[in-house]
Formats: sequence, structure tokens, C-alpha cells
Amino acid sequence: MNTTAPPPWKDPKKLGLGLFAAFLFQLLILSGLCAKGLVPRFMSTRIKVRVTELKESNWRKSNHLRLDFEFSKPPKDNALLSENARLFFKEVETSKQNNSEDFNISKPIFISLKFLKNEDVWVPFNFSLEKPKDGKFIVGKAFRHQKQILFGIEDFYFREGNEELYKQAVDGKKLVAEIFLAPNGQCQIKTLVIQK
Amino acid sequence: MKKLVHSTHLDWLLGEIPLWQEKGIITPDQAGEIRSIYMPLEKPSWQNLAFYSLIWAASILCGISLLLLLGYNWDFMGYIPRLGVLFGITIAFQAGAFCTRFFTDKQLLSEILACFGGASFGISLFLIGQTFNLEGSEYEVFWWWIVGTIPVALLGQSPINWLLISLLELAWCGILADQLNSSIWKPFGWNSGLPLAPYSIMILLVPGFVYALFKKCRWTLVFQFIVIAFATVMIMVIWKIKGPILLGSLAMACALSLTECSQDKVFTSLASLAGKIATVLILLTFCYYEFQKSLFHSSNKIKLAGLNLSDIWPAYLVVATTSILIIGGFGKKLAESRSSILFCTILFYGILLGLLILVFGAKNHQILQIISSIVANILLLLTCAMWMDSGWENESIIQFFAGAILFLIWTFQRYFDLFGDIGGMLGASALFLACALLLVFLAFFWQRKKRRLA
Repeated sequence: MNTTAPPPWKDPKKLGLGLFAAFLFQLLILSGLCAKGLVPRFMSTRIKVRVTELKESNWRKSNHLRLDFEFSKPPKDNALLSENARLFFKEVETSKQNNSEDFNISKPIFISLKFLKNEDVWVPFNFSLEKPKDGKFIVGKAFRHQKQILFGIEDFYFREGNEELYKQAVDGKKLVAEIFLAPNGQCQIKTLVIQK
Repeated sequence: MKKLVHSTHLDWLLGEIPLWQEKGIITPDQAGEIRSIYMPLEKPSWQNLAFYSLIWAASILCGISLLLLLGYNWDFMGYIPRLGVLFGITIAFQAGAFCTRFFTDKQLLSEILACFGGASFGISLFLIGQTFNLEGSEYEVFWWWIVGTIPVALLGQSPINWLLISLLELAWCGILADQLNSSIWKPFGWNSGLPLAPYSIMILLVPGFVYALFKKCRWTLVFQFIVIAFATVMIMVIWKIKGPILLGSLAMACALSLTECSQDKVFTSLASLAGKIATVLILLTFCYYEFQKSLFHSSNKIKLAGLNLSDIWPAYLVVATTSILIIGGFGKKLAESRSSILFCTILFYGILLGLLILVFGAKNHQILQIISSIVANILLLLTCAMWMDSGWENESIIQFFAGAILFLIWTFQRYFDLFGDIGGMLGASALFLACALLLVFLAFFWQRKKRRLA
């Protein structure tokens, strides 16, 4: 009797193997996301930085806040800006006025931090487009279209009911974020802490 | 006790017995005894299927209610137990789907479990992101959710999973329109330089079309076409093309008007389906409280996705009115049809809103928002009930399930609408539980009605 092998998409064994691989693929995606969250916990140091503003997310109204830090906006004091950073932010002003099209273009910006022992927080003391040679620094993205620097630590999910506490703390300048800071300046937020 | 056999087998047996008697193989007494042993297995009526489907949907809502309760206590758990729960649930569903498919040969159950696995996978994506406070937007999570679910649907050859993917793609397009303006598509972080929405959605749709064409699965093809239609409108909205909703609804209105004079059955049913979808989309939009807020914003220059209110409002009226004509069965069916309920309520809703806007202008926004939301929600629930009831009466499984699915969509929409504003996570949990109880009530109500009629 002449029997021909079924095509792969009709062969139960191959389909089973394929489906198994598809399930593994889902788990791989989940594991990748976990790794993204877990790696900084083991490879970084933990520091505290001050939160200056809380913004409610408008689409997901649930338990999510957008955070602004002391270094989320270019400093008004030009002494904190290195020459290249100062020129860049000036360019931001000009491109805004010219209604420039290339607003999605961003540049990495390095913010050097110093420790205030009495307040137990790290604060910015220099903004530069060049990587600092020593000391702790945090790296963010400065966009041409806005005077806002993003670090990937702006999203925070809180326990329901804590929102008011955080709002009061930020008004009293007592809200700090505990973040994992890697040696290359990449960071991830761990939690929010209300200082006494 | 009689033995139950499939009716086709029994028919064959009863057809053969006279032949055996004729040939003297069995006596008439023996023939009678053989006949008395068996009785036909009653075909599972579709009403039974519908009953169990409602129970199934109710159990999903109960599950979500439980998950929300778990979510409320989520912060008490460390990240390792959290990850354990998320991976555990996903793997359990996947293992269930795999085993039922290849060891017990229960295809439908396997598809349902794989669908639950897909849902669990997506929820896990969101919750892992929350656990580690990872940066990212909903559209990115939905993108990965779709990418992770496509291979399962393709290799599992499962229309149910394609339905899930289509719903995810619809949600993805909607979020894109909500969150992004002309953003660049960056798959795996690589800057493609291409606008995000159109190219990515077309690529995501390809596997669905390939599957639908190879397997000749009409339903998957329909789902994919719906996504294309929605994506097209959303792309127009993203790119702020002037008046897409107006144009779309006018086109819909023309198609609907033609159904009344067309003799072509296929065209009529397609256009009628389009009309129903248009009405439901409009009602779903108006049910959403955020939409109402933006619609009745204090500024006179109201803009929604780059469109002026003046563009949207007539479009709404055109679609609603034309849909009323078609769905309500203008004139001849009005007096006798159940759909006259829908006709009257939609008409009431349209007139009410029109009058309120004329009378109050843009001064008393909050009352308008609340009234408008409540009326739209009642209308949508009536539509669900009407479709389910009519489907039950006419034994139209598609109509019945359309009503049930619409009810589920409405439930999830209320989750997003109310969550955080009213009741929080516990409130949402209670909402899902209440809806689950309502579905159980409806299931038993129709079951009893069926028994009474029988």
C-alpha cells in the first residue's frame, strides 16, 4: 500500500512540536520582560532622588502616575549646564520657534549626581552631552521638541489608596524615589518613599 | 435502561432490521427486542450550547473578579510570588491546551484553553511591567501580546485564537490613535523610519490572512477584514485627515439606504451587518464617559483626534438615523417587531441629546455627560438583550452570540470607564461579579422559557 506522509501542517506530531514551540515563545517573551526588570536589581546600586511633580495618566486612570524628578527639566541655572548642553537646549528653543519637523530626534544627556548626606538624596549638579569620566551619573534622553528629559523611570504603579499620600508628600517636598542605577547611567525605579 | 446511540446510527440500524427479517436472519420478536435496546441520543440543541456559553462567559467574569481581588492585594506580595502566579497560570493553561489537544483529542476545549493561555500571557505582560515599573506604553504591550499569540493561533489552527488576536489588533489600533501622532515604527528598538501604524498592522495581519486562505476559514477572514477597516479609519484619525468619521458614516449611510431597495440578498445582509456594526460602534463610543467629557468640554472649539465637534456630531446623527431605519425596520416592521424598542430608544436618545444641546448649549456639561452616558449605556444593553432574545427565538446562533459578545465588550468598557473613578479595583471586581450573575440569571431564564415552550 502506497502511503504518503502528510504535509507538515497536517502532521499531528509536527503541529504538536510547533504548538509547543509557540507556547515556549510566549514564555520567552515573558522571561525577557522579567529579565529587563530583574537585571538592574542585581547589577546596580540603589539611590534616592527627589520627586518634584506627580502627573496622573489620562488613559489608564487606575493605579498609575507619571513622575517628574529634579533633573527632568533643563536647569534654569546655566552654571549647571556644560557648554554642549547649553547649546543643545538653546537649539531646542529655536526649533520650537521655527516649528521644526524633526521634533522626534533625541540626544543622550548625562546628569552627574552628588549626595546630600543630611537629606539622604542624590541631586544633579551638572548636565552634559558627554559621558562623565567619574562619579555617579544618570543618562536620559533630551528631545528637541520639548524641554523634558526622559529616563525610563517616569512610570510608577502604586497601591490603590496611596495617591493622596504621595500628593501631600510631593507638595511638602518629602517624596523621593528609590531607583536602581547601573554604572552606565541606566536606571529603573523601585519604589516611592515618603521621607519623615 | 436503554442504550443511547447517535441518531444517524440508529436510523441505519432501523433501516437494516426489516432487511434482516426479510432474509430470515432474525425473527420479528428479535427485531422488536433489538429496537427496544436502543434510543436516539438527543442532538445537543443550540439553546443548550447557548446556555453553556453564557455560563462559560459568566465564569470568565467571575475569574476576572477573582483576579481583581487578587490584584487589590497585589502589593502585599513580593515580586517572586507575583511572577510565580503569573507564570503558573499561563503555563497551566498552555499545558491544558496542549494535553487536551494531543492526548484527548478535544480540539474545542484545547482552543478555549489556548485562548485563556493567550489572555493570561497578555495580562502577565502588563502585570510584570507594573511589578518592575518598566517604562512602556500600552501599544507596545499590545504589540508583543499580538506577536506572542499569532504563532499559537497559527499552529493551533484555532479560529477562537484568531478572534482574540483580532480583538487585540482592534485595541492596538485604537490605542495608537489615542496615544500617538505620526510616531515612528521601531520594531525591536530599530528605527525603521516608517510611520508606526500602517506598516506594522499590515504585517501583523498577514499571518491571519494566510491562515484564513489556506484553511478556508471564513470567520478568520471576516475578523481580519474588520481589523483592516478599523485600522484604516484609525490611521486616518492618527494622520488627522479631515472628517474621516463624517465620510465613513456617510458611506455607511449610503450603503444602508441601499439595503432597503436592493434585491441582492448577499449585499443586503452585508450592508445590514455594516449598519449594525456602525450603530454598535457609535453606541459604544457614546457609552464611554471620557468621550462624553471631551465632547462636552467647556470650550466651543471642541476637538477630538483633530476633528471639530461639528464634523462628528452630524456624522453621529446620520449613522444613528440611518441605522434606526434599517435595524428598526422602518414603517412596516415598526408595529410588530421587537426591534421597535431599539428604534424608539435610539430615537429618544438622538432627540434628547439634540434638544439638550440646543437648550443648554455648552453650559451644563456634567448633567449632559451623565444623562448622555446613562442613556447610551441603557441603549447598548437593550441592544444586547434584543439580539440575544431574537437569536434565541429565531434559533440564530450568530445573532445570539453577537448579543453575548457585545455584552462582554460593554462590561470591559465599563471596567476602563469606572475603574479608578468609582469604586476602584474592588468596585470593578463587584461590577464583573454582578455581570456574571446577570449572565447566569439570563441563562437560566432562557432555559426555563425553553422548557415552558417545550
